[in-house]
Formats: sequence, structure tokens, C-alpha cells
Amino acid sequence: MTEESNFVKDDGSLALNNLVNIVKRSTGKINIQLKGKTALALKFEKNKLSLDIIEPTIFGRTEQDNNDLGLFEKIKAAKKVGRILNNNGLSVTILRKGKRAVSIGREATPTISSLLTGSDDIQIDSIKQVTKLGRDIKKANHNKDDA
Amino acid sequence: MESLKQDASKEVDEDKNAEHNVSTWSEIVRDIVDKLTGKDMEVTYDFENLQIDMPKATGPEGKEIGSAKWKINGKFIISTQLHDKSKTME
Repeated sequence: MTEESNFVKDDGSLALNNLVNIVKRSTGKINIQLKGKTALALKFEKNKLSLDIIEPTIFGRTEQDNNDLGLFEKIKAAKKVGRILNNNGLSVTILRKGKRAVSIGREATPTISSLLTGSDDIQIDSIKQVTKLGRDIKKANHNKDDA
Repeated sequence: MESLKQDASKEVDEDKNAEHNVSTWSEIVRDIVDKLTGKDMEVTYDFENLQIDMPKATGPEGKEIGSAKWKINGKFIISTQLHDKSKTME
């Protein structure tokens, strides 16, 4: 059985493949606001998707539920996602408050970051922004626990 | 022969890890969607000239479903409230 057919075998990969095909045919923007403040800004440009995390509390619960994984571990976990994106010719850029943090998929040109991520399909654009993003999420969780 | 066995077992392990990783990411996406549609929350979705070119698809009984172009502009707000059931039961 080939690697590609393995992708199709599990539901997560199948759903991701379908989602990628829809994203690749989309242009425009979606801003998602929580309590009146923009939390996530998505920009669709056919083969490129930018995901700007403006308010990290949106990821708060997720991080809390999976706190056995650090942010860099999560990036490593994106290895297969990166491969699916690359195979479908899509690039996803994750930004923190407008500044590039990570690129996944076709346009990722990994240099030394491939040592951290273990993948050629994931490029860490800024270790500083990735670290800050991790810190933001942890802070959001901390505030949530205190509330 | 021994190295072949090792290679095969390594490949199986990698596949298992990869599947676990994808399900971890599926869980993250599910949690975010859950959060965006969660309780006691007001979420505004603001669409700015979003255009989706839906591809042709094959529906039930092999019926071909035509392609479509969706254009979405504007906002919609989803508000959810958490009610304490125990209080209303008294």
C-alpha cells in the first residue's frame, strides 16, 4: 500500500484533503471576533492561506487539554499535515499579531528549522514569534484558571 | 534480513505516529470549532468578499452535482447563553 493511500485511509487526513481542496479555490477574508475583539483573521489567496492569531485565548482550552505537548512538539506533530498541504500545493502561514511565525506546506523552505520540526514542509519563520505565541497561549490559560 | 525487519518495524511506528499526530491536529481543530460555537459566547464572523469556487462532485447514485461559485459578504453573530437547569427545575 502506498503512502498516499494511507493518507486517505484515516478520517482526519480525508477531511483535511477535502478542506485543502476548498481552501485552494477560495479568495477573500474572514475575521473572527470574540467579545467584539478580532481574535483570528483568515486571508484566502487561492494557494495561500494566512492565519493571523491576534487573540491567543482562542487556543486557550486546546492547549490546556493537550498540555502534554509543548508548542514546538505541536509543530512537529504538524509534519503530516505539512506533507498533505505540500502534496496539494497549498501553503499556510501562521502569524502572531501580524508577524510571521510558521509556514507550512508548499512555500515552506526550511533551513535550520527542519532540525526542530523534523520536516521539510514546515518552516519556522521566527523562533521569537513562535516562542511568544506559546507564551501568549500559556498566559491565556493561566488567566482562565484564575478566573 | 534483520535490518529489513528493523526497517519495516520503524516504518510501522512512523505510520502510527503520523496517524496519532493527525488525530491530535483534528482534535485541536475540533476544540477550536467547539470554542467558537461554545457556551456563553458571542462570536462574530465577518466575511470580506469571500469567494469559494465549489468543484463538481459526484452525489448519491453517481449523480453529478454541478459546480458553484459562492460569494459571501457581511457579518453574522452567534450568541449562546448558558442556563442553569437546576434553578429552572426548582
